Amino acid sequence: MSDSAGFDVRSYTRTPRSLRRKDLDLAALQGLGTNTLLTLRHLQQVERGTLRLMRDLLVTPTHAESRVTAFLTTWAYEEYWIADALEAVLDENNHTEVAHSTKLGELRRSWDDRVSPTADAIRTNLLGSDIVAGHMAVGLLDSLVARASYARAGQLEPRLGAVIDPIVAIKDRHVEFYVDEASDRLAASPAAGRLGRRAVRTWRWPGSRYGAPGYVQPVLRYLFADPSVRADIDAADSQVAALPGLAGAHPIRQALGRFASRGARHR
Amino acid sequence: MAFDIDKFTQDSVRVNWEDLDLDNFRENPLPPESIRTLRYMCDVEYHTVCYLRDMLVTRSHGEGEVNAFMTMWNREEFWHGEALAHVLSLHGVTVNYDQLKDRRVKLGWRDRLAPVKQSLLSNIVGKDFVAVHMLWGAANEWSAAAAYKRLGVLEGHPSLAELLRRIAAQESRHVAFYATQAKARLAGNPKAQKLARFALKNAWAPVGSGIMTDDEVTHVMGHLFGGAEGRKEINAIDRHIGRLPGMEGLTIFADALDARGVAA
Ligand SMILES: [Fe+2]
Ligand SMILES: [Fe+2]
Repeated sequence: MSDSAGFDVRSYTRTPRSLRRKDLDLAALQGLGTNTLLTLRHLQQVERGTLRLMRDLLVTPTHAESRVTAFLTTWAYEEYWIADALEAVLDENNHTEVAHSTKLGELRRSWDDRVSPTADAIRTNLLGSDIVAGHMAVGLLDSLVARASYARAGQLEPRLGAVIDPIVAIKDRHVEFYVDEASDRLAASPAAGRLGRRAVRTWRWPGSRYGAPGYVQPVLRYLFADPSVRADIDAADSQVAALPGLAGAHPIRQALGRFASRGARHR
Repeated sequence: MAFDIDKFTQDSVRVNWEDLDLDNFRENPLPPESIRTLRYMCDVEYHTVCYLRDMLVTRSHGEGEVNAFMTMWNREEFWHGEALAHVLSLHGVTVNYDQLKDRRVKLGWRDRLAPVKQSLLSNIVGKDFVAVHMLWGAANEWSAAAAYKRLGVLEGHPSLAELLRRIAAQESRHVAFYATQAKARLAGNPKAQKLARFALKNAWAPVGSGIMTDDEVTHVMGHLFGGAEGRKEINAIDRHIGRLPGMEGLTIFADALDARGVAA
């Protein structure tokens, strides 16, 4: 299938990377620390949520974007194997704990599963293809924070390198796709720009919608509280700020700030 | 019959054709009626992601096994589209992202099951509707497997036959998943059975209806399943469906051929 310039979706679909358990030296990853395990579980659960994300895009006019759906099809496949590899590491450490949804989280999940796809379908079909800009901006943010989280987890626990390095490389390609798509889409029309900016404003940290803040927050503190990571966060934010109409945006730093202040209140 | 999801995900690969000698199509091209049928199949395969959407909104997901299957299945079907697009490209027929997009835009949000869902208030029906989706999927996969098998026989082109055999083998694994799921969800659940029977009888149409024009559907049905040999395949699918709980005596495939005037 032919492809336009920019990120080469066609080549991406032909070269997915799938992490397989059998290629990992799991024995070398025994006895990981609690913070590492909680982090891996959080990331694993985010990766497992891929189909929910896909549904949310597919009920909107984004489903017609065959270039995007070709990407998503391959992306979901890569994410599946990332989650599986993380699960293998967690199993090896007998870490079976998962982040359970709170009562409010359950209500949100049930709303997200049953009502909001239909509501979104109606609302966004009225908005038309401009909505794609917002989806691509959110996809970029999700990929950027996933990438930053993995990279940082690998810094803090060097033994994870064999698992983390390929994941970071996979995320790099996702970031590349979303940067390319979001740039084109945001610039396409004033409405697209508006919807994109709104999506960035209302973006939420992946995996924080259903679970207790008490679960995600310690993970984020472990990963990002140290002042030395500020530069990495700023670098990720700058990729968003470089998009058309988003100069000066720093949604990731802002989101981390919200978690930090919530933590201060709870303690 | 159990379905081993771990084995399925481990073994899931994109269909391969690099080792097949397809380039001789340039000297010995397929006849126009086969190109027309391939074009139809190619579009239907690429459309799978929209069908995935329909599955995901009825809470068929949420369970690990279903999620795992859907992820691999969607990608395998995408690659069926890519493989057929390659064969078409050797015949000077281009299928690209822009054309696929145009078609999807024209279709809008069209889900063949939507009217049934609305009429039956899917929030109340909930879990039973998953059984309908699984049965629906099984019917589509059975017909896909049969269609590729038939086209391979009709054309007798060795490399094409091998490619179609590879695709059909994947379709058969899809059948195994959907049929196992449908059976488990229909068994001992008369409410789900009634709903499923109603949906198949009133809303089902050959895969591709609603995406392609009526003329195209009739062409493909006649091309692949016309005549005594074709009808044999179709009757076999009806028998498979009839063996599922509560589906005895349904002949939706034969009925569809009759309705389109495809002679046995
Ligand atoms: Fe297929
Ligand atoms: Fe299939």
